[in-house]
Amino acid sequence: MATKPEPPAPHGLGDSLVERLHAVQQQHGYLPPEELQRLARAMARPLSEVMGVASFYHLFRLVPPGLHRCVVCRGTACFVRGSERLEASLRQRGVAFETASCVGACGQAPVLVLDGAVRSGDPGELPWL
Amino acid sequence: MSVDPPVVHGHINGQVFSAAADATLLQVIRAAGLQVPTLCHLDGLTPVGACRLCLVAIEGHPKLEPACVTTVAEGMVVHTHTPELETYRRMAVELFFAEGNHVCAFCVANGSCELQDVAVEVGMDHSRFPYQYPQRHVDASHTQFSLDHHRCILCTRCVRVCDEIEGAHVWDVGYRGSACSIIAGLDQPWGEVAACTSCGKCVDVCPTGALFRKEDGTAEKHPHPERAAQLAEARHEHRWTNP
Repeated sequence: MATKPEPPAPHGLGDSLVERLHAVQQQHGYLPPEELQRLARAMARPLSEVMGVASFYHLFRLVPPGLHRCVVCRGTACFVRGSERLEASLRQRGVAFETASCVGACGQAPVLVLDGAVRSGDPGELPWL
Repeated sequence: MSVDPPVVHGHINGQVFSAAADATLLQVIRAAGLQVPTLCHLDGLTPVGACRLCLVAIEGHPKLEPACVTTVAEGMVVHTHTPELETYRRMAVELFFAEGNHVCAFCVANGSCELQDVAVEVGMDHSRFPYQYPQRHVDASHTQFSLDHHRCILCTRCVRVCDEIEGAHVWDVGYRGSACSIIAGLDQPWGEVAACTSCGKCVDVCPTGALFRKEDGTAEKHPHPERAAQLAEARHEHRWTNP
């Protein structure tokens, strides 16, 4: 069906925004507002456009990450093996965590990733809880 | 010298139409004196097909298409008001009401609200969907205007008018899913965004009471959605309407 073709990007300043946001996040661990402002200025893009893209993707963090990073897997296998209980126990203990759709370690479900290392998510086996 | 695009023919609701090959279905529908409800569409701004109210059925085509972003084609047979379309349109309006916090009784736009008008047009008198009562906020940081996110339907008219006509691009859409909202600058208070020229075009084109002038109380908003088309015409064709 003939739908109107998307008009070409009116300013033609490349598609490098996402890549540059990644670079900023790699350097700072998150996207500080000053850096977003600098990026917008450097690319001659409106602030709200840069923020719109940065806030849309879950992988971009707009607040500084904590000292430790905890990611709970919400994949099917982990769900079946009790990732919801794991999340509840973390929440109960006031542990800040993120979630991922699957970390590819279904054989050990339920799992979480603690500071980059995959760990069993069985609440009984978590020494730090 | 520009060459006129070729002319195509078809049927809308049994009525024959002929139109330039680059016309949108919405333009053809309106030129034929017919009417489909719209919310995100505004003459003078780029169509985005966001509100899904102008969906039409095209014979021989498996899915419904938004008229505002669909170009006509030779032999197209279009229906604008099948029972299926009417059901979907009413459902879409119900979802608009369930998604935000729309309380007409004390809204600045009561009586001049396009969401309200569309609800009347499609015959929506209640929503079958549970109201979400989202926790949103009001941005009253600008000296002249306010933005009440509770009443925003994310039509993006303000985003487009600010980008395409004023050229300031103060607004954009931030975040995603149910957290989606209109943002000013780096999701800052509106009054802190230096790019804003305080021209008020976003307030003029807002279809609901989300954007309003601070002096307006309940039912006192007087929007001017026609200004987008007037300004676009003046800018691109050097024709001034002098209203």
